[in-house]
Amino acid sequence: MSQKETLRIFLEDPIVREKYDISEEMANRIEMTGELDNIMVIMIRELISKQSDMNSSNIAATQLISALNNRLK
Amino acid sequence: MKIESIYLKHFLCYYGENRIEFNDGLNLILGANGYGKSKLYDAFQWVFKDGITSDRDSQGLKFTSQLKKALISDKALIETPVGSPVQCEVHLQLSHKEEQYLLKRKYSVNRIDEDNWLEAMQSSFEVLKKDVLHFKPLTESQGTELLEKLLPTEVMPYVWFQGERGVSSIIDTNSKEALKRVIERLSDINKWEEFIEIAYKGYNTVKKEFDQAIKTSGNNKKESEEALLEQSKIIERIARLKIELDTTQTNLELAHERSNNVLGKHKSAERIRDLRADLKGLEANLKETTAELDSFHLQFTKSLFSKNWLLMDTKYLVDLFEEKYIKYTDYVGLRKAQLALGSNEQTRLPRGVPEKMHVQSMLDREHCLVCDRPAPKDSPAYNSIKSLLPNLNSTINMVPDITSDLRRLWGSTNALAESSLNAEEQIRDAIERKEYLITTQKEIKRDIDRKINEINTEVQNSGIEHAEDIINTVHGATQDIEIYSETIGRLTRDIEASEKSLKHFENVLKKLGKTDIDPRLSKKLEIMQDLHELTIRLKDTQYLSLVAQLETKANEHYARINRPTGAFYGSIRFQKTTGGGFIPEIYDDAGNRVDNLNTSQVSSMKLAIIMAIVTANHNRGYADKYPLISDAPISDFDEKKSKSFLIEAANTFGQSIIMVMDYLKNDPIRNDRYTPDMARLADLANAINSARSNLTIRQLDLPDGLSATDRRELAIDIRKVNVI
Repeated sequence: MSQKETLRIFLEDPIVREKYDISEEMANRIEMTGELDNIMVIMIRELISKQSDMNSSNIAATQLISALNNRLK
Repeated sequence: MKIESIYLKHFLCYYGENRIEFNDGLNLILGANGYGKSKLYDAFQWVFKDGITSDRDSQGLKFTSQLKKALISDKALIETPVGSPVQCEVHLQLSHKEEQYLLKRKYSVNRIDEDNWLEAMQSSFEVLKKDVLHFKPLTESQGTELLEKLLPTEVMPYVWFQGERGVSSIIDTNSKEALKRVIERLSDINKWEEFIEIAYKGYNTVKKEFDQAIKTSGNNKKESEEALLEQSKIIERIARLKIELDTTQTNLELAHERSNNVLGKHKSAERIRDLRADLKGLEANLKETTAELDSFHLQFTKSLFSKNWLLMDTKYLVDLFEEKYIKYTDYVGLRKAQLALGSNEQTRLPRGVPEKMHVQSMLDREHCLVCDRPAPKDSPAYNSIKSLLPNLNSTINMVPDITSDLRRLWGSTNALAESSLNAEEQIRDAIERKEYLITTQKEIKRDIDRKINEINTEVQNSGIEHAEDIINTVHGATQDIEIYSETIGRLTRDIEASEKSLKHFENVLKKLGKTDIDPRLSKKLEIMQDLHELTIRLKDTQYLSLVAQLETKANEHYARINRPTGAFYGSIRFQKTTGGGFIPEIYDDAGNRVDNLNTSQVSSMKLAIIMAIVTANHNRGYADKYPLISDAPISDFDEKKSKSFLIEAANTFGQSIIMVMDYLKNDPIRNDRYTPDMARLADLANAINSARSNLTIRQLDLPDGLSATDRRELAIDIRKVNVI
C-alpha cells in the first residue's frame, strides 16, 4: 500500500473529519507533499512519513512532537 | 520463484537418476497409491527443510539425522558392494528475479559389511547461482538468506502442503486463532501497529509535559494533585491489566495450539480408546467363556453321578426287576398260604411254584406236569425234575425273607430310574452348551484379532500411540481455553472501565489546565490524543477490511471450485469470536449456518481459504512469487470438483505442481498398472488452455515385472503425457 493510499485511509475517518473540518473534497485532493494549514492532516502526514522511514518508534515519536511544536509556534 | 526442474537420484523409491522438468501454469503429476507421489513431494521438502513428512504425522517432519539410510533407495543399497559408499541426491533448479539457482542436497552412507552401514549424521547442502554459463556456489549465509527470500517461512505452509491432513493443519476450522494468525503473518497489519506505537509514545510524552505543568501551576493545586494521583493510579492499573491480558492471550494461543496440534487426532484417539475398551470387553468375555469351557468336563463328569446320567436307559431293568419282584412276592404269598393251610396234593402245579409232592409225583409218573411231556427215568428231563428234590426243603426252609429288602431296593431303583429319565435330554443340552461355548470362544478370538487389527491400523494411520494422552490433552486444553477466554473477557471489561475512568480524570485535568496552562500545551495534548485514538480505530478497521478481503477472495475460489458440481455449497463467512479471532463457517442464502458438512465441502472450503490467503493481499503478489506444490489435496473430490479445483489452481498461481491419483484408469494391456485417462485429461487441458494457462502432465509409473512385496526392487518410471 502506498503512502498516498495510507493517507486516504486516515482521512476517511469520520470522527477526525468532523473535528478537524476535513471535507470529502479536501481528503481526495490532499497529497503527501505540499503546503497545508490543517494541523491534523499535517500530523497524519508526518506520522506516515516517519513510520516508513523505519526509525525506531521513539525517534519517530520525538520527530512527530517536534513537528507539532513547530506548527504550534 | 519458479521451479524449473527436479533431479532425484536414489532418493527413497526413486532408484537411479530421475528428472522432471516443470513449466508455468499447472504441472500435474499423476500417480496411483504407492507410485511415488508423496515421495516426490518429500523430495521438495528435503531440499528446503532437510526433512520429509513423518509417516505418522503430516504436520511433523522426520529429519535426515533420524532417517539416515532410510532416505536411500533400497535397490541402490542392495546393489552397493561391501566397502563402497552410496549416495542419494535431490537437486532443484529454479529461477528467481531473472537469476538461476541450483539447490543440491545429498546424503551418503558407507557399506561396512553385508548388514552394517556407516551412516552420516547429516546431509550436505549447497546453493549455487548461475554466472553466465556455470553454476557457482554461494556461501552458507548467502544460501540461507536466499532460501528465506525464495520461500519465506511464514508463506511456505500456505503454498506447500500435503493431503487432507496438511490442508486441515493450515486451516483448522476449530481454531479461533488460525485465521487471525494468518492475517497477522501475511498482511501488512504490522504497519498499523507501528502507527499506534508512534502515536502513543508521542501522546505519552506530551501528556507527561502537561501533567508536570498542572503540578507546578499555583491554582487548584489540591484538585490537580488529587486528579493527577488518581490518574497515575489508573494508568498503573491499566498497565498491569494489559500485561495480564497479554499473558493470558499468549496462554490462550498456546492452549489453542496444544488443542490444534492434537485436535485432528482427537477423533482418532477417541476411536482408539473405544476400540481398546471393546477389546478389553472381548478379552473379558473370552476369559469367561474359556473358564466355563475348562470347567465343563469336570461338571460333566460330576453330573454322571449327581444327575444319575449313568443310569440313562436303565429303566427297562427296573421294569424287569419290578416284574420279577411282583412274581416273587406273589409266589411267597401263595406258599405261605399253602403252608398255613397244610399240604394238599395238586394235580397241577400252581403258577411258577415247584412243590415237593408235585415233584415226587412227576418222578413217579415219569411225566413232567409243567411241560406236560414224558420224562422217562434217567432221561435228562427226569434228572432235572429229580434235581429239584434235595434243595426244596432247604430252599424253602433256609432262604430268609428278603421281601422287604427287595421292596426297598425296588423303591430306590425306581426313584433313580425316574430321575434318569431326563438324562438323555440333559446330556444333549450339556453337549450343545459345550459346542456353543467352543463356537463362541472361536468367534470371540476372531473378534479379538479383528479388533487388534483395527486398533493397529488406526494407530498406524493416525500415528497415535497413547490415545488417552491425546484425549487428556484436548480435555485439558479445552478447559484452559474456557478459563483463559473468561479471564480475557473480564480483563477487557476491567481495562475498558479503567480507561473510561482515566478519561474522566484527564478531562478534569484539562478543565483545571484551561485556567493557567499554556493553551498551546493543551492543544498539543488534544491533537496527540486524537491522533493516537485515530490510529487505534484504523488498525481495527484495516484488520476487518483484510478479513473481508480474505472472505471475498475465499468465496470467489470456493464458488469456482464447487459451482460446476451442481451440489449445494453455500458461502463462506468468517465469524468473529472472542479475543479477535475468526472461524470460517458455511452459510446458505437465507443466512442460516450449515452444519454437518461433508468432507469434500470442508476440503474445498479450506483449499479456497488457502488460495485466498495467497491471493487476497495482491500487493504482496504471493500467487505469482511462489509456486503451489501440493500432494493429493483433492482425494475426496469427485471428477467435476477435481477438475474445477485444478483449473482454479492453474488460474490462481503462476506455477503449480500438484500430485494426484486422479485421471488414471486401469491399463488394459499391462496387468496391475495404470494408464492416463486421456479423454478426461484432454477435457482438462481444453479448460485450462482456454483460461490462458498451461498444462504439463507427467505420470509416475512402476516398471513391469516389479515384485509387489520386495521393496529392494522398487523404482519409479517418470513418463511424459502428451494430451492432443
